[in-house]
Amino acid sequence: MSLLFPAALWLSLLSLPVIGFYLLKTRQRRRPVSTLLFWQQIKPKIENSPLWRKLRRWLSLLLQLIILLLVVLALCRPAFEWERRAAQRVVAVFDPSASMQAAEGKSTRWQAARERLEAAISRLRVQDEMAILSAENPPRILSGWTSSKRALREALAGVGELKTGSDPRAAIGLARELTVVRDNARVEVFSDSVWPEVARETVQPDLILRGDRNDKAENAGITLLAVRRSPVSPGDWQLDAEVVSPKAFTGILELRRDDMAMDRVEVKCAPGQPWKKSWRGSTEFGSTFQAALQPPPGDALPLDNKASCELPPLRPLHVLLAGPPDPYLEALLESVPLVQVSRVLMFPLKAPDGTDLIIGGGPHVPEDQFPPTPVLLINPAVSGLWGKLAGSLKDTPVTDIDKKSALVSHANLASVVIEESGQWKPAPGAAVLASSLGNPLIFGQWDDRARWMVIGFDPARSDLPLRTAFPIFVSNLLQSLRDDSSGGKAMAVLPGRVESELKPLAPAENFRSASTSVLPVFPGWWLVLLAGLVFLVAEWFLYSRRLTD
Amino acid sequence: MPCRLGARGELVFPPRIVADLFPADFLKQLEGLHLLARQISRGRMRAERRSVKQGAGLEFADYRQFSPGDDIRAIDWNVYARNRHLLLKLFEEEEDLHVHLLLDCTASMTWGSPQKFDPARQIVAGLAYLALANLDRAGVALIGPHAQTPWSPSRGRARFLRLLRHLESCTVGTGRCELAETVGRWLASRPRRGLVIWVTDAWGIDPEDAFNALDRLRYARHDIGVVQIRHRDEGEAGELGEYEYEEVETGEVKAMIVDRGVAAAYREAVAAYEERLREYCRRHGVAHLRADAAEPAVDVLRRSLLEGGFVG
Repeated sequence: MSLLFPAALWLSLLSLPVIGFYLLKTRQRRRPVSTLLFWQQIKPKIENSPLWRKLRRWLSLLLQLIILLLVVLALCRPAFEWERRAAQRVVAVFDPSASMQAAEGKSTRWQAARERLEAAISRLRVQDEMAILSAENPPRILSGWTSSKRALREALAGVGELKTGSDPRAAIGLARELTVVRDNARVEVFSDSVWPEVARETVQPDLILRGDRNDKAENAGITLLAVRRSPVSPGDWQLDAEVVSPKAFTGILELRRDDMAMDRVEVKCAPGQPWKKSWRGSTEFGSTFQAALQPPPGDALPLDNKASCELPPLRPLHVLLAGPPDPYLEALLESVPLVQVSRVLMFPLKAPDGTDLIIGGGPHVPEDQFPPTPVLLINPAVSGLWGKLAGSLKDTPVTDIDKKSALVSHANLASVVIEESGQWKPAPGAAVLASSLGNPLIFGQWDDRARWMVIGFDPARSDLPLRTAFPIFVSNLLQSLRDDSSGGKAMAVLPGRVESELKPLAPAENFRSASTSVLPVFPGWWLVLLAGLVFLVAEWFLYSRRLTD
Repeated sequence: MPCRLGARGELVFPPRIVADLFPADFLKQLEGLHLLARQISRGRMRAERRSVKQGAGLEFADYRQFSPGDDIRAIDWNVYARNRHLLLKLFEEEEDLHVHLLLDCTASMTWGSPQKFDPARQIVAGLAYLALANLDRAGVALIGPHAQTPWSPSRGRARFLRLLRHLESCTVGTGRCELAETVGRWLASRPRRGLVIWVTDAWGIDPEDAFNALDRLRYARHDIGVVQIRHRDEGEAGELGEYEYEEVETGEVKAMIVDRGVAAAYREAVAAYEERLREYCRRHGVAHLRADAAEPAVDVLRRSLLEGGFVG
């Protein structure tokens, strides 16, 4: 045993006044009586009392001193060895996923889990420790190992509700790592275990889930509401919706676009089978789509009954042509919607602000380095950063096309006849999109690190302008520039199918609704104080009952 | 302080009281008690006591044969005229009753507030007045550890005021006092047989002391009455706690811790003692009256007339 506050031992000096006051108090008062006749008669009865009654007075003083010493000992905050050995160390993994917002009786699972965790914090003793993780992706450590209830409660206040599902694997893995640094530590997950199937591997028999397993919850919800523009036709959009219900469900899905009613369709869900529907339209302006599902009675999760996604507006692309006028190319570019073309004579070292693509060719090519703006070089006349020109080839048919590339996957280059093309050796890192018997025809680097592309032949000396492949390729090239900014797909933030189905992954054996710890929650010095109280009662019995000596 | 007789023969006291112990009201109340005593006596017997001896009284008692030497004035000549027998008329001889009032002067009588000794002296005074008013002889003996001058039996209400002063001058004596021995000492003075009324708290040095004293009085063929005077608190152990009990008579100290059990045992011991005293008196024809020290002495005397059986 060690004392956390040994200075309180000085308080034991209070025993001196206790003894003094006791002697003063127990000094017998004198009472005159007319006769001692009757006291002498009952004296033998008193003298036959037990020994401990005769010692009662000194026993009372002894008990008072023991009480004082026990109180002093309690103030010294003794830390017992058994307290250290019996310390409880728990890593609490709190699941803030959307399914936790499902109604469970009068409250939600999230509220119930939070109350359980708060109760667990309240039960912490001085020697116990707890850490709290939020099972987000990536997991968030709300509180490291601490015994401070206040710190834990403040950390718990930082738990936020997610509108989507979460994968607990990373959080549970991190929690297990935290248990390594403490003895007798365990992981407790405050969750309903509505997790994706990939998380099944984490559900081991020793995993403790604090909560009530409920696989009877009924819920129908929107699991998908996404709008995306056509990659080939930038103004076109497609809205996709999906509704899922674990049980058969028939309801109404209302769609609104820019707060105007757009559609109202009947939803019929077979158990476990999603209901899907798509809508299409065309606009270069932005729109907001809202979907509302009329839930069935007893719907557990209101979070997935409404969804909203936003279709961003298209912005015009600015293409800068470097070199002499090229009527064909200019006409081609202007035929693509929302493309604005301008021209300079020399390839610029730095493009004007707002330029999305620089198209050069022939001698108009970058010299020392590519500018930060994406570059398309059409039949460059010299070697450069893009590759080495070894010579030229006659009548080169397109033999190989990289179908995986979004730029050429829809452009039919197979039957293009090229009278003459350069014999190129692309720069390291460049990808070949089309080639003729091993000779790269279209190559370049078009990714997040660099965006430059080379057409290694003169389109005017091929039948490419006569085909749709070239406009498609150029259009793909231009639309790919939109992906990073305003083009592409917009999805509503929804809990997802796993969360909406509310199927717990873990078996009932892993669920423990309440803490089964039988260890007392009070610290050891409470026991000392309790012992003092017991002695106080004994002293009261001895003195206040005024047992005779 | 002198007093005079009123028009109807009652005692008339000056407005100034004799002493604090015997205020004027008390003396007036004694006169009322005397009238009450006369009313009670009229229904039973004459006021004056008659001796068992036959002699020169007024009340006819019996006849007997004349024998030489008898007083010829007592011969019933009417009987002789009719029957020629000399019969002598016998009369009951009237004589004074000696009322011996024994006052307990032990230190235990000073206990309490008011002290038991004060009402005891008032009771003795009242009994003496009743006796004197009844033409009896009243004497006061002081039963205590130290010898004090007794008031010899005397008659005549004119002596009553002097008796009061004597009572007022009485004091209690501290020290060990055995009641039986002290009573025996008084009996050794061979007091004339009569009525002995003992005003006491009956606390002896041991449980048998008071009974031994009463036995001695009985053996001396006295008519006995006991007025036991005590405080109500004396029957209780008092507040619970640790105390040193000091006996006022001897100064003996006994340390006690009183709890509920001890207090109950004490209460039972007192009650048993008093029950034993009452039973003793009933069995031996001793008039017994228990009085509380806080009770007015006149009320005690009135009760002695109505239920005590030893006054009148």
